[in-house]
Amino acid sequence: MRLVCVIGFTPDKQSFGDNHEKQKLIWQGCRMKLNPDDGYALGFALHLKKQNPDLFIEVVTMAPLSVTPLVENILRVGVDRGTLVSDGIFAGSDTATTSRILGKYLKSIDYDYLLAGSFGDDSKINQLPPQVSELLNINYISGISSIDEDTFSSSKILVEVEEEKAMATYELSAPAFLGLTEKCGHKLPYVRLKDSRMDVGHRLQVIDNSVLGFEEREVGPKGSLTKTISVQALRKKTAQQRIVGTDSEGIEYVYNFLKEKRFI
Amino acid sequence: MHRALVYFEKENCQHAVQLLEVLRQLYGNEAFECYALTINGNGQVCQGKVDYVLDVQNQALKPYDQRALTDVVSTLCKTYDFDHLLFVASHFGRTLAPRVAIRLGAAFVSEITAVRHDADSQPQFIAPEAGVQNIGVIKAKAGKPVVLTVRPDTFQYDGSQEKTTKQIKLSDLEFKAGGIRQISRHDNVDNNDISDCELLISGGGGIAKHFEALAPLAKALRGKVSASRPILDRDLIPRSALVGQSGKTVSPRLYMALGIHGAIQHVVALERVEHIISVNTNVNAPICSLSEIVVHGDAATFVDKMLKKIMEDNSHATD
Repeated sequence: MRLVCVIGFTPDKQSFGDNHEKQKLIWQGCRMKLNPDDGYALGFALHLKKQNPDLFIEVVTMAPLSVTPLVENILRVGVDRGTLVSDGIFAGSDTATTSRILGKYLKSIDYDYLLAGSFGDDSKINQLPPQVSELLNINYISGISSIDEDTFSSSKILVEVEEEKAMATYELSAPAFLGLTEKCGHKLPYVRLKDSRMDVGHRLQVIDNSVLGFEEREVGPKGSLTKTISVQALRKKTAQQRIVGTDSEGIEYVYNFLKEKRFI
Repeated sequence: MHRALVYFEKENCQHAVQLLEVLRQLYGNEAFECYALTINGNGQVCQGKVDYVLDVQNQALKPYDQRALTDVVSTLCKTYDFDHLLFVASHFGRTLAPRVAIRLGAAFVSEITAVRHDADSQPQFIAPEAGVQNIGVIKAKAGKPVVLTVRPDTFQYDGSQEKTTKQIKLSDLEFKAGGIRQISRHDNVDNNDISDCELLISGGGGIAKHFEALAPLAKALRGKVSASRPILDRDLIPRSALVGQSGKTVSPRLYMALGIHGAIQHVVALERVEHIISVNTNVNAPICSLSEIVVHGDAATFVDKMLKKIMEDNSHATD
């Protein structure tokens, strides 16, 4: 059985720059981190591999080459293959174009199930699994809180899904794309100290446009149907802000505010 | 004349009604026709609010079968030549809309929270942007349709424009169902609806170790407890109490943020909050810049002292 985890990296907010005057995000040089829910999807796949060592796990991501050390660490915790889809002409692609690029690679490989996190730190990440599923003509279901592991080796699996107002159980035929949540309960393990220098280069492949063969007008900003034209601060600092402490004066101030606004 | 389709998902009709306000803001004074798509519903909620109800009745069409729904929506889009397709950013809306956009080769903007126009009167969409305290202003390139998902509770439809609604019954639409089957479904017993609550006491990573202390304060103030993502990750709340991009948008009169940092994924859900009080050891945390009152200090200490103060006041009042 082959599982492919489609993962995303988001800017680490601690190192992410912004320039409100120019209304641009500064991506260059910013540290990236694995989207947290994708970590749960990977953790689940590795949990299955513990029970079934023949299971083959590939991790696929589209990102700048600067994420290579992060992908290498994922290989060091037991993932069999890492595929980094990366090329300068892909930079600036919107999510739909990113999905088309990843979809083209995924069409060329075999898999039983694709796995990803249900929710992204960045809402754009959430669009990717359904868009890739549409391109691959497979089902996608998000919000999976548990998977019946006994059904994993068969052609149909049972998954439990947390919807807004209900819990539901679905049966899906392979191949399918599964969106997992933290409820699946398996975190991505840390790299063991003894494995931290393990050479995993032979298990990492970089797929660039010489393999995928897109024309320049199909990808990047030219191939994208949406464009982020500026970024702005969400809400300006409130004009009448008051800073108080947790001493009796501060508590009194908040208490009086609550009374004045009739919360008490 | 512009034409737009709003998908009235059976379980989210009330949220779908709010999307009519998005259309009003998109088209302004320009004439437009609004179509509501209902699948195996009765379309009653759309009466008087839209021009047409596309009433699809076919019990083989299931709300969770996104491939089949994509067939239906795409066919309708080709038939009626819509300019915009709008979906609530609900559990199913979030997966159906991007599929439809890919199928139609359409521009797609997700989770919009506002609409505005540039100098050339072209629409721009406001949506959360990655990583920091920012929102992105996004533009779709020329061409139609444009597919949008809209965060629930971010637009308010006032229903002032009464329309004559015509029903169009559709029973012969082609779609390919399959590959997914619902085995069982039961309603969540957790009825903690924080989206229409007046007062929310919300906790984050800074108060995780004392999170249980929030419930008595919420009770004393007749509010409810909610939380940010680090609390969900520690399994201390159900997802229904999560405020943020992957949780709920809230609009209480008062939001008390205790030990919450205020990443964009969280604060994007607070745009319609009237008053924010934050309690944080770091006054430079993003949530503090949005707050009317910032209490600089330990959130657990604040909760303890505030609760004592309220109790004392209550006991004086009853003496």
